Amino acid sequence: MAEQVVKKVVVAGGGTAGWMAAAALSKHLGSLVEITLVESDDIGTVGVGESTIPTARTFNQLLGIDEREFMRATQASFKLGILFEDWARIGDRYVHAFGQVGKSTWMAGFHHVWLQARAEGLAGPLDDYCLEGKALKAQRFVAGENGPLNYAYHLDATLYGRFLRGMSEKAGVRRVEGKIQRVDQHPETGFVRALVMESGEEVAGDLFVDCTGFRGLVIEQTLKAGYEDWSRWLPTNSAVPLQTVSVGPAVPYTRAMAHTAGWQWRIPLQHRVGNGLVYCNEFMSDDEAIAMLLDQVEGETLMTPRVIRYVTGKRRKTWDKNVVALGLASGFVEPLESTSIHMIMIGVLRLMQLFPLNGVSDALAERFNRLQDAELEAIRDFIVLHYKLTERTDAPFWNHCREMPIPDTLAHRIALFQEGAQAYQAAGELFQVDSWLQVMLGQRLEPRAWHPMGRLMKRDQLRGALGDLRSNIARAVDRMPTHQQFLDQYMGQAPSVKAARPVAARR
Amino acid sequence: MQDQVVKKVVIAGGGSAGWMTAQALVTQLGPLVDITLVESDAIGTVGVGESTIPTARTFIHLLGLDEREFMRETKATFKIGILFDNWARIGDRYIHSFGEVGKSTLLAHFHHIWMNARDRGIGGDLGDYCLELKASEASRFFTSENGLLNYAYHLDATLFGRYLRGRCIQQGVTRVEGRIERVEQNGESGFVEALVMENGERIAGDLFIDCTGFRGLLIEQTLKTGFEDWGHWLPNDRAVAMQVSATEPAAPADPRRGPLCRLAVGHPAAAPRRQGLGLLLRAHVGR
Repeated sequence: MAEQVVKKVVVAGGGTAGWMAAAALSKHLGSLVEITLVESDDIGTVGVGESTIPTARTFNQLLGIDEREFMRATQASFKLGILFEDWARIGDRYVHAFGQVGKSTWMAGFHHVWLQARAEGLAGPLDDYCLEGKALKAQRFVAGENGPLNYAYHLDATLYGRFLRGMSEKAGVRRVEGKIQRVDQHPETGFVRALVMESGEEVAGDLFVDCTGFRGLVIEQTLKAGYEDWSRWLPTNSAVPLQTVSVGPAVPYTRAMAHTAGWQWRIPLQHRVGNGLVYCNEFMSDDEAIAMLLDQVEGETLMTPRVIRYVTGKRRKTWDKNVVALGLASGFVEPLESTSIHMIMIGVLRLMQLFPLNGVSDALAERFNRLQDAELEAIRDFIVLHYKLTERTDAPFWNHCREMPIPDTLAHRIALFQEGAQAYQAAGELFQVDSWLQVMLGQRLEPRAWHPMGRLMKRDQLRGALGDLRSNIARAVDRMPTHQQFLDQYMGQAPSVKAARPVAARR
Repeated sequence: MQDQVVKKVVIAGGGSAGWMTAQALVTQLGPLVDITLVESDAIGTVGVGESTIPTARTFIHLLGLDEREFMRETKATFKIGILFDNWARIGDRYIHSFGEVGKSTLLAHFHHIWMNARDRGIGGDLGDYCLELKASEASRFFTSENGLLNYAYHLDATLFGRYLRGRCIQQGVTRVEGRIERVEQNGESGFVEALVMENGERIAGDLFIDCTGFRGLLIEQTLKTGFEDWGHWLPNDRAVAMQVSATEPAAPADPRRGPLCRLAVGHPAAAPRRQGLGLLLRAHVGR
């Protein structure tokens, strides 16, 4: 039998990433490895990743988390997508919902048929053919066993960390409080042997998970894994979060409102609203940003705004020697499509799938790195798309975005859509065709041609097929309660005995 | 509304590739485009692609073919995998079947669990956990609506081409008999505009599909697209194909002649009914 080499796992840092890693590892591999998490109450977490995508449900299910308990503990609300405002032009609004748009066949996606119908004057807005999009706009929601909607959550990241910490400690994770003073490496191999605390305590381990945020204390400051700067494609570099008191019902979507040098988010939770301004400080000063945010938010503010500075990009090696970086330590594209928590989740999942119980090997690390790189690069392209497709000429920031170079992979996607309405989801990619086309069409990228599928249908057939789809969706949405009503009722009930139902890998 | 630019599709070559393409296009896009296929009875087809993988079933379905009719027309048998003889070592045999091995979880594929079980002396061969593999070892087969086995076909490629040709012509594909003498290109763009036949006939088109086999009459001889040689990784460069009459039933109990395709090193092997034999080899080894 192969010898077990990795017996002690040490997680450095206790933000969202650290506790997600500790919770998942202890749940699934807790009987094989000892897990220690090191964190300091003196170091704040970024903790602004408050909006998720549907893979969050898969993660909860994997951890055996009861949905109601989780939502109560994190003050969560449901999320069906994102409402984008003022992106292509001031006054524009479009929805990127989590659902499928229409019914597609193997030969052509639904949108080709829709484009034909639109050209013949037979189609309504694209959202009318997507249950989640329609429900989102109507601020309605319903969930349950075999519920019809594909959804995610808005959550309080600090409370989420606390919730996972409780689970982890119950499952045997040891928490060490304090600051890390230095990292002890093997003199020959460079493998990390221990974290040496300010108290002098040595936390030794065989595998280290770096969740220390942007600074990457182990992966970068110690191992010098390197960082690939993506700011030429993703120019924002600052964020100011600000929490406010809720002044109206919670809506089932995140708002992403473009402003003159970036955008502003609005995330409704049960107990408050998370707001924030994302910008590029070359085009807007911190003071201007804070003033703009304070001016824009509704409701009493619950904190003093503070600026978080970042460089968009990716760690060159997210797994280097016996160190695996997760969360902000592994790279950061920006929060526009709520992918930060997803990146942590998929990273933990892959670490468990490739777990080096019998020793770290180059092949395992390379596989992990390739998967994580591809995941983040595809997300990067999707986010760059939002900026690149602007038609705004009202501010230097948008002129810069419109004219900036973009990755070849994205340039090809844009050309494909423009020339033949072709969109694709490559193997292993997060965002489905439905996501690409909602954003492309939402930002006025008009295809010159499309698949002839719709032309093969007779006019009456085309009218009938689209009409049925649209009215079925409208009827289904009419029967749903409002999101706030559903949330109140759902949170008022006792936690269900069994865990959240399995979620298919639909994202 | 978009303009339709491609109205005439011309397929050059009528082997398996040519007729499969013609059938797919006419079935799915027939009302929108004119389809012409050019082939010559004087040019033989390679036609040794007689073994398929399960995607063949998807394709058959898309073409709207009835499975029984298709199998009768092409003298097909079922296939659930490949038996490899003498590959790692002389005397070794293993099966690559189309089935799933065991049940996997999100965290780990089944074989990790099997390996651990094997270490602890629990469980049998990996193949015991794969339905298709077990069935191929036993030369057994079964299918129905919602059948359990994932399968493909062994078929007679020449009959397959002939079968599709008959259907295509019935559905409106124009077949032009003769040899292509030259390919006419646009003087500026280099786009292909027509195939000119030996008898002088000019077959114009908007989109051309090159199914002319290895020589690539349009894609290579005309457009000079280039070819990436993979011989350093895949060293065989000759195939000898031969057909013999079937001497044994197609589904005997002996796994050597069951619903398996055999790939052997060094000696030819059998497939049922009319049997297709073949040998792949590397000519001029060492050069």
